[in-house]
Amino acid sequence: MNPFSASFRIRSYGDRALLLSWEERIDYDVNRAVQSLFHILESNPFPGYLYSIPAYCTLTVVFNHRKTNGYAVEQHLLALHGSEKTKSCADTWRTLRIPVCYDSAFAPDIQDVAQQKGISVEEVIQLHTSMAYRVFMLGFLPGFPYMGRLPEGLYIARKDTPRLKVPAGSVGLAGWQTGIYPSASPGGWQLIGQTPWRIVSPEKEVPFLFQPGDQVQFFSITPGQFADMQVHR
Amino acid sequence: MTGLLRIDRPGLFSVVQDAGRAGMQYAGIPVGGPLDRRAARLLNELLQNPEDTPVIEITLAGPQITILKDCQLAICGADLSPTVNGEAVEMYCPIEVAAGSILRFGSVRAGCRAYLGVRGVWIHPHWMQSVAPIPSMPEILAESILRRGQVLHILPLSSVLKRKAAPLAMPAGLSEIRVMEGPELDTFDPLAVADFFGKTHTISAASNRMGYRLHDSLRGTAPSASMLSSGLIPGTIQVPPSGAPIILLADAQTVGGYPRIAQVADEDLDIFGQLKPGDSLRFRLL
Repeated sequence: MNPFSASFRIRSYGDRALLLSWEERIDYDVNRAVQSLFHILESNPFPGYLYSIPAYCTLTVVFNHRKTNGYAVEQHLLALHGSEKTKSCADTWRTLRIPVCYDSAFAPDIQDVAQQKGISVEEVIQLHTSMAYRVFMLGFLPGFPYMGRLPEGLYIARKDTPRLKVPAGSVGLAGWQTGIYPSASPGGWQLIGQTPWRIVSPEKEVPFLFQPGDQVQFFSITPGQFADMQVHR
Repeated sequence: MTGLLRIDRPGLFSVVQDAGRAGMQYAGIPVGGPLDRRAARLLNELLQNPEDTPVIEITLAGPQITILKDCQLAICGADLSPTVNGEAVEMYCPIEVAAGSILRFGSVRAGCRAYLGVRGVWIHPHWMQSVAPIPSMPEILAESILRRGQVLHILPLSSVLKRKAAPLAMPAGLSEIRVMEGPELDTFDPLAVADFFGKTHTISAASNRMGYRLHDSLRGTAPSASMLSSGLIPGTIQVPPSGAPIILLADAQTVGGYPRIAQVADEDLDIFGQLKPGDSLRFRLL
């Protein structure tokens, strides 16, 4: 499929938003189509544009309904989608290499995951670091990256009972997704490691480590390296 | 010195809000801003402040505040029996207050959230162009959630003409909320849809600026899960597996995977800011 010609459906989402939906699946091309329209809209807003939320396969476009209306917004979006510019801005073209300590002290669920998948802990680590993932979207918590798609061998359901407190930096698995908790929070993902890096740095001009469209490659570090990197981050 | 308001007691939950932070929702940042935008807007109109000037949103049990310098202030929204030095304060109207005066709030007469504004320029920390604190980022803008002993810095400006605005209607008895169909409405069990639009609902105590929960679950089986997470905006009504709908408000997360049964009409969204646990409402499809 050519991501730039992928068709989407436009529906009204209340009186001040439109919901654009592509085919509902976790897919690179579908997500590229969402993000390319998001980026082109951000740089070519219409009068009354407020914000939009790119997700896996949907784009929510919010507008000031005192300044414009759904029909005008739809026409603007269709014109942008048809324009040449849309073709160049789906990816950030960055690959971020993210250190993760998979040691059991940092990975409360890694034994469980290995057991459920019938593989060794080493194989879980090997699989998780075997490929670069796409940041499909940010959300749930500010800066939380939803990444995927996981290799076949790591597909796993969320925990039946969510944890009340997941430490910041925890790397988790859920379904076909992998993600990193930017701050301590409740959460139901299966935790297989932790990064010493900060995912959100409010004092920085760009406070979020990840942007939608980034590629992320994990690499394994020891508890000693974790401690060093935490000091020097 | 610019200290103008000293917080002697913060009350239940008193928070500094401005127009919020539209534009960062792609990164998972909630929009923020006052839950009753009408009241905050009216306040800054009355005081002739720019519309994005911070206001203090006061929930149910109000604070006690000592005024440190002569200034002009106004209160809109819920009637929480405000007094200055023990005398009842006229709401929806700029009032002159002398240095040393004490502002207090009392019993809840109507509504849930009162808004306090001051004629002047705030000197208050911002993050990403807004003073609105973010529930999941407690490390920033802690100053926006009022605490005992805190002093708020505002440069008072010359008084404006005293003018009274028409008070906003506060919910009394059963509220009717106008909604439009949500993206997943057609995936719901007809029994759930019948309950949603047919029954009178009650606000649960587990409600806050992120979202208001309804007390009772909808009948019928929940739509098959496994919907991919998609954008949420203030006013979205989602239904988690428990079947009890949640109305998302200004501090809600920006994406979620529960089916969305309806979307509150923008004009009626402010009503939620004035509803409190135990209040009842019905939904009407536009």
